[in-house]
Amino acid sequence: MKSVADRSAGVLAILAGCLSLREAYRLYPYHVSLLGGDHVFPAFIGGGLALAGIWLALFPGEAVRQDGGEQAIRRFLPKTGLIPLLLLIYTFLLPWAGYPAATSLAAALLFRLLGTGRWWRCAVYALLLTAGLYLIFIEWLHTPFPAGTVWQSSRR
Amino acid sequence: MSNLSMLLDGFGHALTPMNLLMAAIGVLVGTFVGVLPGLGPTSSIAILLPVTAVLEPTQAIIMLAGIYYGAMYGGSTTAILLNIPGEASSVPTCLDGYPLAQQGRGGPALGIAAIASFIAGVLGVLGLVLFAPVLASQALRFGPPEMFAVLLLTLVIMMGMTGGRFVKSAVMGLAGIALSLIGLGANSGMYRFTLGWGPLEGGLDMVSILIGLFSIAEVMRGISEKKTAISAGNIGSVYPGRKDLKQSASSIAAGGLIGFFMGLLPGCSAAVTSFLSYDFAKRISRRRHLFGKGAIEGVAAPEAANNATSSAGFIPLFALGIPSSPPLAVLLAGLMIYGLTPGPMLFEQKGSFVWTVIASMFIGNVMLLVLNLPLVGIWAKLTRVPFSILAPVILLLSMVGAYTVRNNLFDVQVAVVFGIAGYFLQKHDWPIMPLILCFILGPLMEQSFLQSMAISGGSLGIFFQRGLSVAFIIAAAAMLIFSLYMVRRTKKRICEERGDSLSIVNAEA
Repeated sequence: MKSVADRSAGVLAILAGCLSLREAYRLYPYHVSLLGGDHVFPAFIGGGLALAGIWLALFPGEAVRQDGGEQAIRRFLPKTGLIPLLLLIYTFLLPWAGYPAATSLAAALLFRLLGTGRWWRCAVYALLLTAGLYLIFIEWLHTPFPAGTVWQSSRR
Repeated sequence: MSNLSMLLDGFGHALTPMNLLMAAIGVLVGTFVGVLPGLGPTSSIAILLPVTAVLEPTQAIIMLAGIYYGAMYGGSTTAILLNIPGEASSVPTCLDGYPLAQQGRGGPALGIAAIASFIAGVLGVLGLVLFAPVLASQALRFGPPEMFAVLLLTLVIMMGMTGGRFVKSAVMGLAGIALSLIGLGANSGMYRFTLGWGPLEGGLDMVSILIGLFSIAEVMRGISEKKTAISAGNIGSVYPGRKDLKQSASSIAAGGLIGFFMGLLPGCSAAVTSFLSYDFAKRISRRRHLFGKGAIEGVAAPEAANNATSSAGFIPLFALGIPSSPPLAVLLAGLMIYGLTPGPMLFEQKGSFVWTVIASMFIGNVMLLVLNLPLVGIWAKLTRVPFSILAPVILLLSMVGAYTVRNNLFDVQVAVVFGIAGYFLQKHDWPIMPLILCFILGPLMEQSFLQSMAISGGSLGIFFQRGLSVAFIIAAAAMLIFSLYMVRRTKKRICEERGDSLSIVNAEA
């Protein structure tokens, strides 16, 4: 059975190749010579991606073995799919709530989601992890994390 | 100044208390992450790269190199005690290591693995002392055309060695170069590939991509595969007897030599060399009938090979700026962050730094042996840490690590996006290494190509008019054919030994 993933990737590669060629065309007016300028590599990449994409779409490989491939999407949801979603929410929460609150909350949810145990245990682990990261990155490395707009506005 | 006097000078610098501490921390952290499920050498170096920002470049690289070969050794612990090969290079170690553990001889197997790693590691560093300066002495003959030829051919060979279909590697490589071009163009001052979106104007950060593709993706894969901790039984004494050492001697020597010389080839992973050395050890052994049932030399050969390959990889890295494996690609990124450009000029311009790092590798290998033999019992206990506790720690460390590079939340979001991409790429056996390598080397390639065009007035003939660049092209063509054959052979052996359950695509992540 031919791999649907290979065919899809082939189509994506063709699209990416076209995008790259369009970028080369846009940059060509600023060239130094035909093979000198910022347009050269986008042109090479665009041509290469388009050709490789056509090859993949026309001659896909066999479908990946049972434990990967087609079952990947089904396995991705729900728990595995929630992980990146939670991490993305964390990146939006961080400037709003600040490092301690956002990290504690994200850590507690991650521990809970991955089945570490009851809520109180997850909360304890989350606080320990937040404190550990605080010591390394904020106290030792002096990384300027957001203080949290919500606290600043409430102080006013 | 001769190599020996420069090496002695390097020892003088490496033996400072701070550098010794960095080597010790690196080796311990490396072994620690090698033992833990869900973290390999590549992801651990990527996560810890920002943490080393407070250190001097020499101290940082000493620590990161220690993490690398510590993690390569740590992988053997799970292979021997639990029959879980953390990476493809540990599969041959499982074949005899696990049966030994079942016989209550896990301790001697781990001890032999440590001793074999030490001997082969030292052999590899000796080779580094002898070969790297010879390669680097050609520095002044390296102009932009030669540099472009070397980079181009490295990438071509790498694509051949990934273990997947060549066309897939090519797509990944080209995508890597495209990603590296995002941001301001060097010649025109125009933005490229930003699609008019502001956050992309600063380009993508290397560390974010590495953290996403390796750490986050690896944890997601662990969750989807419902990874749990498994307890190891009683391992017995970790000190192998005289008989064990005698039986393993020839296997260690063979594994070390095979691992070292094959490791010089760009893209020749430890997976390839460990299988080759296992097969070779089996062929030369008088106890061939015991292989697969608990032959101690079956543990020694692949362990020696994968450590020798790790050390040998530093030769093309330092001398030519070519990383031959994913962890070394991350180390290259680290060197660049510290303002050091590996390549022919590194020995000329930063000789003291290079020789200090080489000397520290000797010290690191001694530490690997001295620290790990007494600690084997503790490492064995670590295999019981539940993945449900480990995963959130790795994920949040990855997030915070990605943020600290440029103090930019966009980089953290990039890491998450690449984590999702990495998960699906791994599931469908798309090789990640070409993307990483091309992302790192893409800007260098473009620069050397455009400089060559400026020298030749826009003629491609310049690459075929100079002896060195033609030699590289011919050598690489031969190596590409050879590497494709070796990958096919290794895949066949993995199928024979483990069924179809382990891919050599994305090995050593």
